[in-house]
Amino acid sequence: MAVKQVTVFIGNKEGRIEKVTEILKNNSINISSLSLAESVDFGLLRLIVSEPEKAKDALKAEGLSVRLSDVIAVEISNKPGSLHELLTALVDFNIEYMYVLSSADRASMVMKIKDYEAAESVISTSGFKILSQSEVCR
Amino acid sequence: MIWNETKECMSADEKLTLQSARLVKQVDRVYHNVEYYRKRMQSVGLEPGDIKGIEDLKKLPYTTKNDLRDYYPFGLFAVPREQIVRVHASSGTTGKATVVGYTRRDIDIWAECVARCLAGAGVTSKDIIQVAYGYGLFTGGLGAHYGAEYMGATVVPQSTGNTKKLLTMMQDFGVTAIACTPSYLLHIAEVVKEEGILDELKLKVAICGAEPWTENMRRMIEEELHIKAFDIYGLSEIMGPGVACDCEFHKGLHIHDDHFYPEIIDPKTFEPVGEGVTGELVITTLTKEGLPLIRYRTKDLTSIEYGKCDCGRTQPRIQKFTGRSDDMLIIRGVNVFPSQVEAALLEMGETTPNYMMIVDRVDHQDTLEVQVEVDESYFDDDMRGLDNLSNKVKGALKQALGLAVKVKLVEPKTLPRYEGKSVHVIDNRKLE
Repeated sequence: MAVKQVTVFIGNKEGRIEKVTEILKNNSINISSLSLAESVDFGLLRLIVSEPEKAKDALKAEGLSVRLSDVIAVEISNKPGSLHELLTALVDFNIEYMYVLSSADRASMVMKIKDYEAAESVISTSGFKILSQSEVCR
Repeated sequence: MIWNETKECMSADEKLTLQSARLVKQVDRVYHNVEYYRKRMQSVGLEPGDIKGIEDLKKLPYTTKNDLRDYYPFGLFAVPREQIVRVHASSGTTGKATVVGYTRRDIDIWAECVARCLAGAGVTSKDIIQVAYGYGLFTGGLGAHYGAEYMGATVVPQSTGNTKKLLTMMQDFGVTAIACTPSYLLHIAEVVKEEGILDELKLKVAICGAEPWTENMRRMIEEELHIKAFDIYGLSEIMGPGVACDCEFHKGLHIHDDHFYPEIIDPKTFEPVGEGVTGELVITTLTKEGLPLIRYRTKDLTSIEYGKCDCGRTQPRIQKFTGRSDDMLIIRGVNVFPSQVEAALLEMGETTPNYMMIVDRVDHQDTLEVQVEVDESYFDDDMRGLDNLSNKVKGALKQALGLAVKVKLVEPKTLPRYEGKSVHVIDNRKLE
């Protein structure tokens, strides 16, 4: 039950992220979470949005380089030690990156894991809830 | 000092007789030994007998770098391959290198020409000379090396790359002369200043070439290092360094016209232009055996002054180069064509073939940045993939150009597009 992440290649220049948010706004797409990875000359903006396919098409139409990829969103309780508990369950997996999706009443982690399917079953059997696209963006 | 007074100070009549005799023989040889020249001459209705002297040279067709490519690798050689004792190679306009070959006699003549240049700069057999051009397929290193050895100087085959080590040896050996690119020498001068070792050096003369430089740069080098600096010119197709060199009067580069006959043509109409008029330098090799070239278009823009120089030499003087009639760049002494970058990117197939080359000079060293557009088919969602891609492009370009390149990945459609002739180079180097 993967969640689609939208990844945008961003040149290291002023106003490039604003360009992305503008396009999403004009298309009434809601952003639930994002993270930015950067190097000297460029960055990757990773987004969890309400309509990933539509977001991808809209961004591409404006000339941006966009990819969709599968990530796992896991709900954890919003209290001390819960992230540690999740990571303990996943100790044998190679987590490529992760970022947080949090609101007042709940917390969840967006994770990119190498051995995706095996990780999913470990997460479930460890008692964590994996969120679907609609749950993430409710 | 003049190395070969007989040849370098020849009277006009004598020279014309010698050049004409050599040209007649050369044309006869290439007609009979090289299919390309035979066909080219036949296509304009010429036979070897029609060329009776220098005055007939203008009847012969031009030769270009593309002809060398079309007959890659050995197709234009005028002797059986067994008689070739060495090959060198330089950048071609596309993937294929331009290959040149030398007989034993060619190597000897080359060495003598370089010795003439060194002598003109005041180098003698008593000097210790560091050759800090690259050794290898590039003609710079071995060309200067053989000339210095031929003259009897002590040669330190330093090659390029390690400035600290070069300076240690310069101090320890008491090096008195250096051959390298002018920009590298400026870099060396800067390190000498930083280390405060100028007083420890015995350096007195530098012979610099392989890239265009200015009187200003020469003055800077001379002031910073307390030496005399001289300009040497050459291109691998004709021979390598040593085709021409300036003397202590710096009135232009004396071309060894008993071996290399120079003409200046209008690069648009191909008509020869008069003395002092700027155009494209065209050279005919009069004695070359391995790869003789008839009216080779160097694409270098300059003019020629005739008449005896104050130094006593009667050889024509090539003036400062004002540019190129093609899009070739010289970066750290290496010839680079934008088309090579395009070919390398297309061959790799992991980016779009849209690119922009930014050439600059930082701390007297040339830098090349290649910006490449990335589209979504070439990356995943992690940084590692992009780093790998960037390294891969860097590797492919280094392979293709023989030059370390900085690669910058940019967003698609952000590089400028031009109507008609596209611009792929921004050269920020200031030569003044």
